[in-house]
Amino acid sequence: MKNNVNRKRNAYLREIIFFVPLGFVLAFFLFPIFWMILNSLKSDVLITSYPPIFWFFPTLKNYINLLFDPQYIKYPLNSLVIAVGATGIALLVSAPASYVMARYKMSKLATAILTARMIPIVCYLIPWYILFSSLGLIDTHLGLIWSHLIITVPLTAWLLVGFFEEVPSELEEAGLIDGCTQFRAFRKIVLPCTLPGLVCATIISFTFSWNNLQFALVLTRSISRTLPVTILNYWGFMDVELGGMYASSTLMVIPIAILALITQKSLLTGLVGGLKE
Amino acid sequence: MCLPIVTILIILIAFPISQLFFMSLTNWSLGGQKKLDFVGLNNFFQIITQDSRFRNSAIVTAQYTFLALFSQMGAGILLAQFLRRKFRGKKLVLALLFLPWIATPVATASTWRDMFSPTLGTLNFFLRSLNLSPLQWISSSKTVIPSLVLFDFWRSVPFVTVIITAGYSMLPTAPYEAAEMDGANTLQKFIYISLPLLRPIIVLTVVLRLIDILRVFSPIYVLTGGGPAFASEVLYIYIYEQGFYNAKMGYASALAVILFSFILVGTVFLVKGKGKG
Repeated sequence: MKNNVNRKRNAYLREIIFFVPLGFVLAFFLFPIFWMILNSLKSDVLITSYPPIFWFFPTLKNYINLLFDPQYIKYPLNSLVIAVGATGIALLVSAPASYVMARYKMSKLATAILTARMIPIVCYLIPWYILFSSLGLIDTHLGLIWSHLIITVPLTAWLLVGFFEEVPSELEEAGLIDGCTQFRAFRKIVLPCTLPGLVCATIISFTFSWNNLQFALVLTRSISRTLPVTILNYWGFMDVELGGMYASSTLMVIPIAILALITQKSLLTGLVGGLKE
Repeated sequence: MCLPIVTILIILIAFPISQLFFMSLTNWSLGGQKKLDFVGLNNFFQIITQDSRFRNSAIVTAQYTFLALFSQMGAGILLAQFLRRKFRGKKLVLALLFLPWIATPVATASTWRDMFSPTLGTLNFFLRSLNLSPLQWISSSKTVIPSLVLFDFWRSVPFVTVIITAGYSMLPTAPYEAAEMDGANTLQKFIYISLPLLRPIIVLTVVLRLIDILRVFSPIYVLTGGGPAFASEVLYIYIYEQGFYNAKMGYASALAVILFSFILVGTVFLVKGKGKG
């Protein structure tokens, strides 16, 4: 009887020893994001008050100020158009290629694509700035999508190769025997099997393009300027408009966070798949 | 089916990189008034022998890379070990932990920049509440590098943890059962079984982190811009400043070539080391 009580108490203690530190870990990693969202719901006076305020009546004033400003609203839209464009083109280009690389074990090409991920972006920025200036592509959506392909194409290709290797080749061989072409077998048989991989590659590629600051910082002025540049610009003034900064930051993070939480399963398997190389 | 991706990679990568190498041998400047002169290896010679700002940035980069890489790899592996057991809501915890890594760096760095403020910042508020003396964080050249490392720690430990956790899920269970039979404790199992088995995935994570740390741009650009007094000017920021602020494109190209070769050598070294083990 006493032994049983002791064991129960020990199990209870073990849970405490696990969950209390876990709480601290989560608090550390989530506090800045929580703080960013909380501050975006404060007026400027409340944000700068010291000691920091945790309990207050929230206001959407910061968001309303931004979203009803026709000058401002185009920045998140630009970010969206460019991330969707760069991801779409990358998938179209890299899905067939990674399929072929996976089937015929073209490891050299796969390595070349991985190398592309290693090259610092500044190495592209300098030549492209010069090229884009002469082609008139500075401050255009097309130019920025084109530049973001350097992030999205190697990334999606690298992730997708791992997924295509998982598909047993007997599946398409059956299709080929039944008389469909290789491309049709790829489209009708292989692609549906790798749907989680495609979702994962889409989300990660979208995130990387959406998050990118550098290309837009150099290659845009105002027409195709994206949200990260807008956030950076808040710090350019002596008197930082913190309410707008926090609201813009939250607008950047929330879509990504929702996407990641919805697709967490395929996102995690996708990362593992990409790591098996 | 590989033709599109090969074409795109050639236009996207081979062309700008060869142009970068060519420009590193010239004195091209952004103003455009000056004639482009071929100066041979003069840029490299000047960088290595005379440029004290380059020497400073190389030291800052080395310090930052060393501190960031070791702290986040160590903490990430320990956290993955801590999260190994089964518990309710594990998937949700992993997904939430992933948020700092996928959240837009410009947005999170902006939040941290406000939190780092020596007078009104949230971090110093916490320190004062714990009766510790407040720090200058990113405002002093003494604490700026550890502060930037702290930001990257916050952002990247989740990435390391998620990857290592995925690695754990692929390990065989037999060695652990055998060790338990022989009476090994948790620490012994961790050191003698988990670490050797996880070695390939740990090496891969180190490579990915090293590449990312060496080409870190937006967090440092948002948090300090390289200041105070060049104390946090990593090589990457220095290249950007020389190219797009001082308009010395040829010189910046030479610096970019140097950074690129650092990353290449580091990666090849690590990947070859993995082959040996």
